[in-house]
Amino acid sequence: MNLNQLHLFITAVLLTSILFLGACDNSFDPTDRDNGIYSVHGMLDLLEETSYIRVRDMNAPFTLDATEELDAIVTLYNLDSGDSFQLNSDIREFEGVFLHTFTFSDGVVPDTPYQIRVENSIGLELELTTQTPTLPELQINRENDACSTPVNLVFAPLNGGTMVLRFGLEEDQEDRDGRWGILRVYDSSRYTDQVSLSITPHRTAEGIANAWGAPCSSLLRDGYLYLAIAHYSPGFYERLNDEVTDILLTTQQFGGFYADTLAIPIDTSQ
Amino acid sequence: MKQLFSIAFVLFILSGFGSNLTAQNSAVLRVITINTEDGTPMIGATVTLSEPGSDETPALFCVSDRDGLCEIRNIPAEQELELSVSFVGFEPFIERYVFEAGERKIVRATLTPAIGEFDELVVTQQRYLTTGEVGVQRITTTQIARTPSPVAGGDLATFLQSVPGVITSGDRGGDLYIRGGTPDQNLILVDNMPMVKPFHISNLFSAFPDDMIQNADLYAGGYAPRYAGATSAVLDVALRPGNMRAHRASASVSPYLTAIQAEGPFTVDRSSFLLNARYSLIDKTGGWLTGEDQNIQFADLTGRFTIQGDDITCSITGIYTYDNGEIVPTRNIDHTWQNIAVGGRCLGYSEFFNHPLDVSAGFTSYRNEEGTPVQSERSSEVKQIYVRADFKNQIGGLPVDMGFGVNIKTYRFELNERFTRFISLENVDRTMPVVHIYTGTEWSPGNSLTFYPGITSQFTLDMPFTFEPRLRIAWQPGGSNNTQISAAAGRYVQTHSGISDERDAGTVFVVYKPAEVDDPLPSAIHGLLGFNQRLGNRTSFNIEGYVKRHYNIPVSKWNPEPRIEIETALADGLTYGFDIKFSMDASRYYVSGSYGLSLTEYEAVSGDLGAWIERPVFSYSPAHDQRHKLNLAGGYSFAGFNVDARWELGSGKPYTEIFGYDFFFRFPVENPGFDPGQARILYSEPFNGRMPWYHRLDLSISRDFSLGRSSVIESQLGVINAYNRRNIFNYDYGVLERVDQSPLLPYLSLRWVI
Repeated sequence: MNLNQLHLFITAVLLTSILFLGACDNSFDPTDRDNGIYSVHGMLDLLEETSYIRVRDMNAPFTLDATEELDAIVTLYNLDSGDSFQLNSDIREFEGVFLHTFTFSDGVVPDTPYQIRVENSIGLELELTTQTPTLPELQINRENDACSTPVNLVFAPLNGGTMVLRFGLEEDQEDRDGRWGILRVYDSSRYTDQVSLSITPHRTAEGIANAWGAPCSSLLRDGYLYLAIAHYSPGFYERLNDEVTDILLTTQQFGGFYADTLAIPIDTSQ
Repeated sequence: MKQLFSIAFVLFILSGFGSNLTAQNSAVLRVITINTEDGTPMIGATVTLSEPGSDETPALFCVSDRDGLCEIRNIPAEQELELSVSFVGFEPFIERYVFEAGERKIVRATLTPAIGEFDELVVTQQRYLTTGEVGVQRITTTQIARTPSPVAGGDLATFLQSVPGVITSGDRGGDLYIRGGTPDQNLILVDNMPMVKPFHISNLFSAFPDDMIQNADLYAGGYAPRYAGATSAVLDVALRPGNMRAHRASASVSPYLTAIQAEGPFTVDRSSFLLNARYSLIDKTGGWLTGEDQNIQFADLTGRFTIQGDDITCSITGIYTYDNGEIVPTRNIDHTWQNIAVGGRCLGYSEFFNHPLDVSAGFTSYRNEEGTPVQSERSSEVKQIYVRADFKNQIGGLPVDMGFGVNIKTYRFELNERFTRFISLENVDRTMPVVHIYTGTEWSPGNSLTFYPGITSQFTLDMPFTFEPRLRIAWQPGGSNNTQISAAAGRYVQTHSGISDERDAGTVFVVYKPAEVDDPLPSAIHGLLGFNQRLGNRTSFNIEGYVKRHYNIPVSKWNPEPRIEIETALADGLTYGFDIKFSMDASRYYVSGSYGLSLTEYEAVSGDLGAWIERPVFSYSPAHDQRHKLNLAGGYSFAGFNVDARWELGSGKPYTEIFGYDFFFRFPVENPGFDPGQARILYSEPFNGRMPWYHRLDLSISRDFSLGRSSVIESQLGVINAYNRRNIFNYDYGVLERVDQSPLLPYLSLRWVI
């Protein structure tokens, strides 16, 4: 290699360096902005005075700056009556992120279609619809309140929502959990228009305590068999408990619900 | 096990041990080529036998292998022939022999460096092409040393990154993706010891500095039957023996690491040792040099003992490597991995043997962990006890390679997931012996066309035989020594898989998992076609096209949330592309360039993947699908200085975008009115984004300073990422920060050799 070839080599190296010194766009935004505008997590609670719905801009990272403002108008529609409610948000800060929680306090009507619409300033919107569960009257049929007398429980009418029941020996307290048995799930495939079940309080209590042969009085100490009821909009329970983590399902949790606890008096002396 | 012993016995008999199957009217010549400077074997020396004074191209020739051995068969008896052993830069070894019928002659040819200027030295009969080279990259220590590396000399890892088709996940992690394959689909052999990951956490380094390597062969696909247990690529590294004639020692230091090496004979020309130890310093110097903390440590220790007899060469090798540090500096997650390997290998080429016999045995262990700096949270380990024997024979006039191996593999892993609300504990401890048998031959229907068919099979105690046919074809049009068209194809099966969270470049933790009894084995079919052209003595041009079809690749099930899944789905993969290489090599300068185009696509049933994608079958480009890669390198020597430069350009690799940032609620236990919810980042559709292009220029200038007769200071001044390009490594979803690869890193390295 002579001097000219050396110059050629050095020039080639330098040119290559300079050519690409500032070339190529090096910016990087990892957020998929084409998908997922908002996440919505909320339940329309038939028995609570206020229902809470959390709405979040899914493209906003977990920083105060990015979450201080939420570009969203949240409207709840009662599709039966045609009433619409523009919801206001409560904003609070949690570990460096502002959380926007919308409230609805005008009373949720059972067995009614509701739609929530979240819309931003450029017109992108998300709509979620649900049918609130019915609020069935519980009919308790039994010959007497003796511990060994079968009890027939009937929930009607139902509109396809899922009812989750469990019996218990003690209620939940502020500072401790109650004593409850297994969950009994009644989805729409297990009933037509009503859920009916028969139990024997004594055997049910024995099963919860896993103490077969124990006297009723030692199991139901305060004289009640408790029944916890959770009732969900059609399909809502199933979506909440889906084993596959589906992004769209898990970021769009919206449905009707109520939970209640009944105390069934039992004469433990019989 | 009865099967195994039967096969071993049959192969042993077929090897012609002690028999005289060679045609009785011809002879065999085995040549051991020795470098007179240090008494060690020479690779690539051309050995020819011809009639004295003949100008014709010799029909009897061979090229010395990594053991310095080559063999010529079917030599006519009772005829005077001239043996010539030549190598660039060395005085040729020339002697005349008359062979007796049935004779097996062993010649130790000692080559002495040519004295004086040999800029334009041309060695007659130098053979530039060995046949059937498609998919093969023969790596020499010279090539490694030329690649700018922040230590004196060079390192195999730095060089490998300049090879088209070889992709890393950035400048950290030590993972190599070769032509669409993943690291667990690679077989790495170091003197026949199977090692899982002898690469350091800084991708600039492996356990193999240039001065420890005899040579290395990278088979990017279509490899020969003797290699089994990997579906993508093979890296076969041969370490050099210690100096057989003189004691040498060196010590080096650079901002990246410090190293010491010692070698020398126990008995001159008979036995030697070689010791090498390196320890990283970059965690101490990186902050000062780059302004960024470099929280990585690594070390390696290699020892080698070699005995060289008249007709046998044996070596015992031990390697230990250790790596620890943060792949993503902001994440506070430590990765640790260790390799331990101890193995012995003997090559017998006695006149008593009809053919050379190669036997290896040893133990290797690999363990990788991930966790916080104070506690390991998951680990995976592979231990291997291996024995292998490789024979040759002549059956029906054809040379036949054959061999078998037993590899008793023990897989252990413990996972303790902490990332999400999900808790999963999965522990596995399983031992699985894998037996590998192979045979292959060479058939030339004409002078310029050669076929290399072969077959490999593996089996375990609870899995049937695999069927792995292989074929290589080489055609040298017109019998030219400068032009070759070659092709290769074959089927490849492996009995294990590596599972990692591919979505996250910030983790290199891999769960090595044996194939389950009823699972289909991961397999691949390769097809390669190559054209190689030499233009004179200095210039070569090579183009290769390839396609690889992978089946049953276990990929971790998709989950929108960042956590490792041990449950896998099976994907099929297709990789195709081509590489172009050009090199011009003279004594004072060299220029090389390569470009690789590659496309890799995986396909799986969406339901199996657990993905939320609605399409029934999901196709995606995995994280290592780098479409374009360009490498330019050059160097020039003047006034005792060597200047080297390397520039690399790569297109962006796929990554999984963030679908969104969310607070999740466990209804009805939690309520948005009172509870904050659980913060989570959700991944979008797998690998739906691409990172920006990558490019980097590395420069170095080196010079040796003599300090008397036997003492030299080798110095190198250089810079990695010379124009301080911000090349992205990944985006850390944990802390929502972009993580870049190393910034401009200047260095001065010194090595004192005595």
